Amino acid sequence: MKVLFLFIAFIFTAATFAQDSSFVRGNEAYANSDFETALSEYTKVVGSEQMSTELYYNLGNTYFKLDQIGEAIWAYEKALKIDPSNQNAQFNLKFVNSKTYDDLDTAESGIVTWLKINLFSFSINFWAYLSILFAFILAIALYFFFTTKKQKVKNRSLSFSFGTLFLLVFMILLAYLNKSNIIDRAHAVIVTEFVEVRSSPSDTAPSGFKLHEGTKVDLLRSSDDWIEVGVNENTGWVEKTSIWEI
Amino acid sequence: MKRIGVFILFVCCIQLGFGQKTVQSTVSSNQVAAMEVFEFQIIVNNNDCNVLQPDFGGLTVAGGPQSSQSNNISIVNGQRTQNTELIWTYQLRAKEVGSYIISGVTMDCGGETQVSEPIEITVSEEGQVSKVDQDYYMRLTTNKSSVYQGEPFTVTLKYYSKSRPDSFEALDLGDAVGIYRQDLKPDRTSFQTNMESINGVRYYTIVLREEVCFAQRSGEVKLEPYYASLLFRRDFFNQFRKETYSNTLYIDVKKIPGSSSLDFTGLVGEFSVTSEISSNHVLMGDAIDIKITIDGKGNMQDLGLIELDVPEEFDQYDPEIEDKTSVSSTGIKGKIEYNFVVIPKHYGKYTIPGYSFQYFDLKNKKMKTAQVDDFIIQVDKRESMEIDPIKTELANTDIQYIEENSSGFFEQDDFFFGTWTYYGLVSSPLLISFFFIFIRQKKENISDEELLVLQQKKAVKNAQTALKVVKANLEQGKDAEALKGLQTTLNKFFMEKFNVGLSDLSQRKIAERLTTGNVENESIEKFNKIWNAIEMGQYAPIAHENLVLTVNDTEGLLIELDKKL
Repeated sequence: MKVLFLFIAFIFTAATFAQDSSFVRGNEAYANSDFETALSEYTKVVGSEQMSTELYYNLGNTYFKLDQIGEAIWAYEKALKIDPSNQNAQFNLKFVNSKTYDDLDTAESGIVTWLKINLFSFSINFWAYLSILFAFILAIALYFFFTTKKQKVKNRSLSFSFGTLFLLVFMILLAYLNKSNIIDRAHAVIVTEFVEVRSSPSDTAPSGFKLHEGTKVDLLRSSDDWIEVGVNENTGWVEKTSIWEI
Repeated sequence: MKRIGVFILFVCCIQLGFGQKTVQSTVSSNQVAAMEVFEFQIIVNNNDCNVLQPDFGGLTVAGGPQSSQSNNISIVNGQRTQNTELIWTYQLRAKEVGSYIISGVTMDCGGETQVSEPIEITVSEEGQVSKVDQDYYMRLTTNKSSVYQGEPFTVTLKYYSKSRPDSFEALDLGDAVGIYRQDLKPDRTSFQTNMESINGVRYYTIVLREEVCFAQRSGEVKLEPYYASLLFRRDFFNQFRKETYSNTLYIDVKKIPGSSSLDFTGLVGEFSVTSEISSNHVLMGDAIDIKITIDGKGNMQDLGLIELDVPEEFDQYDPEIEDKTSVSSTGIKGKIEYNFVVIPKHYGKYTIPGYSFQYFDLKNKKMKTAQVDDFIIQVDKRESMEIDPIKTELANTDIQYIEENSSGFFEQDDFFFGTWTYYGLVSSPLLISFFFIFIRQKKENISDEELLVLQQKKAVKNAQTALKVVKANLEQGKDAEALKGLQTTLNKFFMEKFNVGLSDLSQRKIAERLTTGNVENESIEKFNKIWNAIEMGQYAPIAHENLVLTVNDTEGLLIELDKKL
């Protein structure tokens, strides 16, 4: 039993070590301006389904240095999805966006951005543990409310319970939103030089408009090799190979 | 001496040419009244041949012939031409109304004969002939009365007059709806006067205007009468003005087969198109010159401004147009060059579709397409090239450097939130809390019967507790207190069990209740024995050992009874 436990612990450590060392090797290659190597090292970590803000941020820098604007924007968007408050990623995304052709109004409203930056920057597990703590507090408050004979204590424990319940629901909702924000793929970035947006999922369909590398689009639905995207209230179909989902 | 020699040589070198040898016959009017005298002339140019008098066909000769001769020498481009004109004039008249034919005049030049046209004379009643229209008129004629839409045709305005026009005063073009016309000689300053014989009547003719026209719609189109005003000399001092209108000219315009095609711009004739591009491989922001040249013959004025389907990533400027066409009677000929300048604003490989258009080939009466190949342009990125000049503020700096350390990697499965454990942990405190609350509520809201049952259940326990006190008293030798305690315990036990007051407790009543409660007789006897012992003990002291025994018996009995009741 003890041996098995040790073995599992070793496996976990080894996995963590592997992704860490790839990350470190990528950083070293980047520092030596060997961006090709940096890219392959970072990609290894991404390939192992591991993620972190810094990983995607560094990946974005590498893509930018390799002149792959669309991919760079994709990586920065990924980094900001995990930690919307990352200022370096914000800066670099803005910087790279200035090199794209389509000048679309993709900015979200101020309050949404503010909420995202301030609330989604905590990890999901933080909210999970905090909600468990609040569930305990709520349980105690409720117990007091139902058992006490003193009217004063009853009133106080009732309002305290409501407050706690509200916070608990808020935390669960926040954790839920944050998790779906990270896991769901509602957006994508154009990675080819430009792409014709067609009115139906076919090569022969008439082209409605054109989108260029680095443009962020909303994903609506997909059909075989085609995917319907939306930009500024316009929608159309593009080939799946021309976009990367965020 | 030398000078004279040169002069002689010069004179000898002048070619003394003669004009053509011709014979003509004319009348002053071919519509006359009966008995009216009119003139008939035989005009012979440059000859000394025999001319025979014609047959007047029933007309009588009232006078003549009188002969006259005129000479003129003209030098055109150093070519000296001498003309000698010999005219014989007859005065003729018809005695009766009818139609007469003066036969052609025959001229014999040593075997080579020439015959002039015969002239028909219509003789009508006196006073019925108006000569005004006949003497001065204009004719609008065309070379084609039926054309395709856009096909060129020429229109000639010719003036006819009996007397030689002195000067030209004004010309007004009639309306021509649906026709584009272009003057073939826009720079003309002088008009040439010719002599022409129409139906035997000699006229001075002037071509006032020649124009090439293009019908712009199908169906029948017309040129409304043209107006001209000319001055004539009456005598040396006096002039008179003659204002004349021409006829209306109708043109039948055929629709071009297949003209509904989108690419058809309405061009008719023969065309070709060529293109030139300055470079196929440029950097962003570099200008590219694209030259489209359209060469041909036809209605080139309809070409207008052409457009290149340039991708939106390119800045496009209006083309510079160089028109190298000229107007001729067969249409507009030459070439038009369109010089486009495009500037790519984004990198990538782009295709500018080649320019193409359809035209109607008049020779083969078929639609044809003229086109140039697509332009394929590779645009490369340019370092430091800003796509949007507004964003230069940011462009001067570089991106932020990478992060050396990562705060921690995670996978999607690492999320604690959303797992069953999480939901269990969040809900368990509440569930536990509610469980306790439920218990508590249950206890507080208990009914009388439930209370009774609970009391009955507790009876033996209470008794046992009380017996412990009794036993303790016994050990301390307080027998009297122990006995009293024993009695109280027993009474309390039955009070609780049977839910009765102390007054209802008597040995007989208890024994009855026990009997109805199906308690074994043995136990009832045991109860009686204990009850009696206690009763006895109140009056006579019981030995300590017996008391202990009784207490123990009581305890045993109560446990037994508790099971049964």
